Formats: sequence, C-alpha cells, structure tokens
Amino acid sequence: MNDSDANHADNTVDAVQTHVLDVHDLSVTIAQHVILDHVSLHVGAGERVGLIGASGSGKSMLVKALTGLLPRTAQADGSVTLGGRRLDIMDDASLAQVRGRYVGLVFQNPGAALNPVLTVEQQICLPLRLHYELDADELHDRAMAMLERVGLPSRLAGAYPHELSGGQQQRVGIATALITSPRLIIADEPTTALDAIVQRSIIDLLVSLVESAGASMLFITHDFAVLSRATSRCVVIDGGHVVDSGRTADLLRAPDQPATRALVQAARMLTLHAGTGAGAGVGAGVRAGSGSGAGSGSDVAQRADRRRYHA
Amino acid sequence: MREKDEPAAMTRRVGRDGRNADVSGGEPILSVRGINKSFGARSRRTQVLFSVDMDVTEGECLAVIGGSGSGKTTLTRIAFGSEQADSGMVTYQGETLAGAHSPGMLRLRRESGLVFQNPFASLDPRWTAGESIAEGLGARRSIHVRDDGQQAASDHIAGAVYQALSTVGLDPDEFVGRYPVDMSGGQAQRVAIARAIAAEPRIILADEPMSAIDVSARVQILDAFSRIRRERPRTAMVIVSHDIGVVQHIADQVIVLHDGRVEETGDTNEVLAHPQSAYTRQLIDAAAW
Repeated sequence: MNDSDANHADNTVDAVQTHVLDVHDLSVTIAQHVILDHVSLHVGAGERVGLIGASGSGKSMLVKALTGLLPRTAQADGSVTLGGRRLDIMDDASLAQVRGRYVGLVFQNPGAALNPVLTVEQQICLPLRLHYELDADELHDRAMAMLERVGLPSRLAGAYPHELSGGQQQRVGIATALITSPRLIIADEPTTALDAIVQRSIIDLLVSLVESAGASMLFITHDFAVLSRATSRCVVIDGGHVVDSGRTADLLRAPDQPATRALVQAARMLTLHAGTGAGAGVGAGVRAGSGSGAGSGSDVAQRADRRRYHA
Repeated sequence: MREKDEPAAMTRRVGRDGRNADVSGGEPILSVRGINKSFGARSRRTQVLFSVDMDVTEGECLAVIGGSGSGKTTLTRIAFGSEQADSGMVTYQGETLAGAHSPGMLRLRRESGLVFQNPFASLDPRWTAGESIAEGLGARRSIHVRDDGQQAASDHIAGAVYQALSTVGLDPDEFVGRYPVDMSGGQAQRVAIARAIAAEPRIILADEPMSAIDVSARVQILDAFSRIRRERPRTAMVIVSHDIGVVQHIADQVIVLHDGRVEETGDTNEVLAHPQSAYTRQLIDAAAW
C-alpha cells in the first residue's frame, strides 16, 4: 500500500525517510491567539510516541494540523511531512487521499465519531470504499476479519452505533481506523470517555494491533498512566510549546519540567498504591517512587503515603 | 475478613485510622434496602438493580464503584430520591422517602448537596461563582434568616460563600465574581463542590466528579474533598466512580456494583488488599496500570 505517487514527488522534502511523521517548526495562530508555537516532533517507523499535555495545551489543535483539518480561520506556518509528503502545502483532494489511507484516526468520543445511520460493517468498510476498488465479497470478508481482530462478535456487523456500548463503539472506531492498514495511527484521547476496565482493554488492543501491523502511532492524552502502557517515547506540550520529551519511562521516573512533573504527579496519585492487591509488575514505571512526594504540598499526596496498602 | 453477602457486613465500623471515630459507628443516616429497578418498555425491559442494600453513616465516605452500566448512578439517584425504585425502601434519618413531598424526602433535599460529572452543565453560564453558590443558600436559608432582615441575610450568605470557596481551595476574592466561561474544568468543578457544601449539608453525593476533569486537575478536586472531610467531620459523603485510583484516597467504605448486583462491600483498605470477587480484582488492576 505504498502511495508515493510520482506527481507528488515535488512535495517530497529531504526529511529522514525513516520518519513516518515529521513536524518542523509548526506554529498555528487563530484570531491573534498563538495556539502552537514552533512545535517540532517526529514519529519513526514502528514507533509509538505519546503527546501529552493538560487541557488547553494545544494537543488537539496539533492533531488537526497533522491531518489537514485546521479551521479555515487558522494560520499555520512550518511544515508537516507525512510519509515524505508535505501536508501543509497539499490541496484538499490530496489530503483526503492521505486521511484514512496513510493515516488512521481514532477519536475521543466514539459515539460522536461513528456515523449513526451506518451499520458496523458499513462503517468499517467506508475507508476501503473510498480508497480502494473492491467487490462486495472482498469488502465483506475484510470487514468480518477486522471485526474479529478487534474482538467484536460477527453478529454485531449489522448493528448500529446506538446499540453498542461505549467500549464496543471504540472497537468499531479502531477497526475503521485500521482497515486500510495505515502506516500511522493518530489516537486522540481514545479512552477518556470509557470506564477504567474498558479503558485498559482498548489501549491493549490498540497497541497490539498497531504493533502487529508494523505501523506507527501518535497517542494523545493527558494521562501519564495511560502513556506508560501505550508508548515508549513521549513529547510534553504546554501552552503551545514543546516543553519536554524523552523516553516515557525516564520522564515518569525523573520529571524535571514543571508541566511534566504536574502530570506525572497526578498519574502517580491516581494509580493504585497497592502492594499486593493489584497485579504486581504492571505499570511499575508509574508506581515507582509513588510516595516520594515530588514536592507537591498536596494533602492527598501526603496522605497517600500513610495509607499505602499492605498485604 | 469481610463477610460477603451477609447483612452484618454492611453495618458501619469506626472510621479508619481512628478518624471520625467519635461520630461514626452509629445508625446509618441514609439507608437503602432491597432495591430493584428496571428500565424500558415491556418487550425490552432490562433490570438494572437487583435487591441492592446500601448504608451511609454520619461522617463516613462511601464510594460506589463499578464499570459503565453497573447501576451506580441509578442506585444513588434512587437513594437521593431523584428516581423511584420498583421495589425496596430508602430511609433518611429514619424517615421513608415516599414521593416528592414525603417528610423524609423534604428533609433529605434540604440537607443534601449534589455534585455531578460535568461542571459546565451544572453551573449556570450567566451566573458568577458567587451567585451560583449563594442561590442554593438563599433558597434554603431564607426561612431561618427572615427575622434578621435582608442585610443580615446577605452578610450571612456572603460569609458562607467565601468559606465554601476557600474550603475547595479557590481564592474567594478572585473567584466570587468569575463566570464559568473563565474557569478551567477543575476550577468549575470546585465551584460546583463549593455550591454543594455551602449550605452545610449533612450528606453529599458526588456522581463521577472527576471523570470529565483533566488528570492534573483531579488532584485538586481530591484535595477539596479531603479538606471537606477534615473541616466537616460529621458530613457523610457518597462518591460514585469507576476508578479505584480516585476513591482510594477518600473513601472509608466501598460498595462494588457489577451488572446491578452488589459484588462486594466493606472497608476500602480491606477490599483493595483482599478483593473477594474477580470483578473487583479487575477494577483494581485497571487502576494500577
């Protein structure tokens, strides 16, 4: 599924070809408000990178810039290179070719992302119909195979989104994003709307599917606990700037930027401080040193130490 | 060890770490017995609660936990009189909640404070934080302050508003005149909490107060709740959540719901350290990452 058309060769920049995604010096301004300020980041082939920041840090606008979905009033400078092609100077038709084929998107609220009048099978097949010419049998076979991979029973093929639970809806969202075997998956807070158990199973599913497809992933979240499970490297964004980046485990262990520290501290706090009650070894990165305080002065942080659970 | 499925396990013990020991251990102030509830028309009727019991004691924080669709919200809505059960009984301070105008219901409504998931949906966008907090107070306190005259009432209300804002960790001078549009999600939720506590309720219900809030701001909400517990040790609290990571810091007791049934219940430490059911273990694993 290599789509390096000859007529786009002039768009190819000298970006390192092993990078699936390269963002260079990207600034976005809307109505004189600077939303993103000279942001640079990259995602290598087969790499899972996290993009983390609090609300209003500019995460979602960056996702929009990466997929050519910025509002018309937005002014963007800098470059976005996806698979060697410059997105920022592409016309709408070419962008539409890239979205859903080279890059798959998984959104925060699956109920809003799925088309309410399409069945699960129609929804999953939609990107295939848009980007490839396949006959009905082939479409059906691929949709059913995809349903199985995301762990949904085949009887749900004819169901509509409102008949599904939130977790099932997000599985359909993942199936739709992955059906064209894109090289890059962008997941924008894919589990925020889901309960804790479903959240974990969706993240594990996403990671295993991306990994087995050999694709790359950019995972956007405000929760370091989620990142530690989904990514190996991450970029911290705050107030439209990249303020920190590095291996996820390193940032969790020794956050030195204030924005990183606040997010790590929150993740530690909301992680179960169980010695034996929880599955040992899981999320050790998050739990490690969870009582060390990080100089927060938070009531709860101090109490967490005293209330550590014992076997 | 906790005795599962045994009514005796529901009775309250002295608060953990000796906290609130002087006020807990008594009769539950809110008591729910044998609640059954179904939704939907006859052909698609689905039962969402199956003979559920729940007790909330003065000064105690009870967390109702479980995944989406487990019945947490329905149970607490029934317990606080916002929903009618098909069968079973709810009593508040010994008085049965039977219809909107029953004495128990009137009393519970006067003495409870509610916090919901989405603060921007529960605060009026046209009102400042101060107005939102005072509104509930004015309605509840007008009877008591009538003799003192309007000025006295205003002073009293202003004092309560300032007090409530500082309890939730917001600078009253900065926030009293601020509109929801100028607040972050975490700030707006703390204003909603301030409104719920301003009238000094005996019991607070918080339904998923953190799931719509940014992770970094959840810590401040947790701090607000623990300050309420410290400053008002007699206030009972019910927190609904799907996240044990959140409730571990605040709840004395937990009740785990799964598909409308009580999976297990008991002291928070005890349940977290020695979960009896596979479902509770799953919830615990999900919070451990």
